[in-house]
Amino acid sequence: MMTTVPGTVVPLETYYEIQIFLFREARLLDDEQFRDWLALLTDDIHYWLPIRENRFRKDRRPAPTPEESASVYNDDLADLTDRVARFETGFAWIEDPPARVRRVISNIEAETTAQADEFVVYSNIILYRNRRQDEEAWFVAARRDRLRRVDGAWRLARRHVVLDQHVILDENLSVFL
Amino acid sequence: MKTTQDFRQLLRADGGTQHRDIYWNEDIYAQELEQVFARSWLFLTHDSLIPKPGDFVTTFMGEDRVIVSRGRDGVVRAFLNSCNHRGNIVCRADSGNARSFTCHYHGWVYGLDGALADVPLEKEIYTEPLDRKQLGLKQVRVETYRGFIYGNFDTTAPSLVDYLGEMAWYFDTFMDVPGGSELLGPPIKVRIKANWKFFSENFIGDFYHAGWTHAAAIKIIGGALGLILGNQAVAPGIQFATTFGHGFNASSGTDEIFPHIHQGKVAELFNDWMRARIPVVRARLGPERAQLYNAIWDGTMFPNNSFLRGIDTWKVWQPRGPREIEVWTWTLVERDMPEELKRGIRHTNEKTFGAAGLLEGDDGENMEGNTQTSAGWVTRQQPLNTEMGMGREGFREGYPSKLSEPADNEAAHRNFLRMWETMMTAKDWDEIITRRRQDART
Amino acid sequence: MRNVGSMLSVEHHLALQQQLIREARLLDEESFDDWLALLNDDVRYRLPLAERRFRKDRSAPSELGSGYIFDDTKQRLRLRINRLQSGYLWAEDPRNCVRRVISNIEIWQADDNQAEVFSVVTIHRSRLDGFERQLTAGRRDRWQTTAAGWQLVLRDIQLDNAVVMDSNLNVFF
Repeated sequence: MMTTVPGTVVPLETYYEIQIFLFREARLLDDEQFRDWLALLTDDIHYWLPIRENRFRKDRRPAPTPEESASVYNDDLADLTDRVARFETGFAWIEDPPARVRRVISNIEAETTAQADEFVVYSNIILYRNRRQDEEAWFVAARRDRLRRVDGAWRLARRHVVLDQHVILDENLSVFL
Repeated sequence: MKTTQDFRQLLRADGGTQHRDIYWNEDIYAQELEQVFARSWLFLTHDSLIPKPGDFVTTFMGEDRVIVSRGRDGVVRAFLNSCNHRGNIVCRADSGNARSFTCHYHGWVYGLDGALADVPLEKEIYTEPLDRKQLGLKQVRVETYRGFIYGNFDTTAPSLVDYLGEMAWYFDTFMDVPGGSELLGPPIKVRIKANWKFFSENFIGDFYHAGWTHAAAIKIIGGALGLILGNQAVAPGIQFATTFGHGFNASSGTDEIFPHIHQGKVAELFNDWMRARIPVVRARLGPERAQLYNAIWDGTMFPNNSFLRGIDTWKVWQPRGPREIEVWTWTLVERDMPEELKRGIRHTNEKTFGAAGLLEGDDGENMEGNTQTSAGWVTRQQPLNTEMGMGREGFREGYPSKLSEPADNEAAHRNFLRMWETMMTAKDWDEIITRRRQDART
Repeated sequence: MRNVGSMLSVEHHLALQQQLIREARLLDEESFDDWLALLNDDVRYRLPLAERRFRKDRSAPSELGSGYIFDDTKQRLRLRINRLQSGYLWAEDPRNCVRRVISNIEIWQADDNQAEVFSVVTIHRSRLDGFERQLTAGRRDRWQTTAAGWQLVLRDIQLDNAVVMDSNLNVFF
């Protein structure tokens, strides 16, 4: 079995597969194909979007962790499935009529890890949401993902979203970044 | 300043109808900043969030920026976060631990107590020595109720305990228990384009909206709220209204553990906790509060501090003009709960009432709709209505304040608005106290 | 060696593209020393001021030029970084949110082991109490392949504003 050196840039073909995975994931979400999106996640998915506090640089408190932080999302598969189920009830009034959402994915990097089938993937996202008549929001963030190849198919195992806002500047962040 | 006479056009005497101007108009908002926010007890933070000497948070009282810090002597103080030289913001961090606060403009240094500690080159460049006392950061009156820290700019206002009034008895349900209650931070902050009073009202007494607004979330989470899905049943519950405008709903507890909205493992841990605690509360505080302890609450401390017990969320609706707020959200837990339960409660709160909250998101749009329609002049002349449950209020043995049933009710809204009107028109706290005590007796 | 103006081989193209993206992440993360290591010792880094002139204006540009926001050697960039790292830069403490989105990447063979690279950068900044700004710019680079990998030799930045729409430009494009 081939050993991998962690932290090296992935081979060309792997890079393009990962890129296509991320673009497709974004398109499924833009098109509200949420069940198809859930199928892209591993059973042990952890989806984390912590709050960013304004701290002085010399502040010695440890960086937030999923156990010790305020978060917007701190979700396992059951939580994410609940969120999708809410969309499907037909009673999610703020989603009807639907908003128009577009995710722009860029700055993709992929590196190996110690596991042959798991990769660290960085990317940036700009999510544009246009709701009702004229409400607009842009959310800019970096994603630190772990992608895993499971039986030849790519899946998302971890996502840590670094949101580039302190105060959330739109009335809710009920979109997956 | 608008007089009682003008306000009679804006608010019916019993609070049952309102003119939309009170949720839209810039002049009324300016008056609110002066007469409500500058004279009320406003929530600042909790002891648990600034436990050590030097710990601080920055926050707002109305639109006034404030630093809250614990001194070397262990005392919590609060003062304005604006340098008295040319006005710059002194401390830009949300929280931390400091020995002092230094303004970035000229390097003036203020102590943990807000006193002006150092002015670079003072002797060389000022012809007269500066009056350090005058130039210290303006102090805020700070009082704590069972670890919950509030501030008031008005030195003539009653004490925090007196201002809480009957609410202190109700709060003791979960604050005067072994270990007491605390908050988990830092606060989540979200901007919503709506008038702050709509949020205070929504939490103080609006049980009626939950079954409809939150139908989608209730359908998939179920639990205690499942009963009210689609507003097909009246929820059992009591609505409380207190002298100084505070109020809340409590779903009627029974002897069985009321099924809260936690899920999975968290629900199990929560039930274990409740099973052990309810008898303790009953022995210490009596049967009424044991029943309240077992209930889900939605409530508001006048003017803009709301909470949901059983979710467990703690909020401040920071006003940013008449048509925008910044909502700050913390998680409410009991100090002696096991860590795993506290983390689980935080997760439930964030999942339901955080920035991507399954229930919170539903409310934001309603409040924005309530507010934005008033852009139309004709629309703005149509009165709004809070007449639900009129004539049902009374007193009951064992409870210190007025109450009414069921929780689908607007008595607390009316009481809140009557307190608001009093503060907007009263010349001083003596008058506020007199008028409110009279209101509370009728 | 490929002809000037043609595309690089796929491997070289991907490696240089990854370098551009990595460069952006190093700056977002404030890994300034690592960023400087990507720059050739003779690097020139320039952001001229834009002048708004009519299309048909045929007058000569001013003798002294329009002026520059950046016209830096590696030494001057080191000075800028020293300022950022000094601990006295109040406008950057607490730390602001910065995110660079790199797009529209074109990579063409140039001479002398160099590649000419065009790209667009959008910098998103979120500062203070929710103050947001986007700054976009076109970049025209020269990168050189060395034993240590691709290094930046020249960057000419064209900011898409005549008036700078932010209270400071404490960011590298």
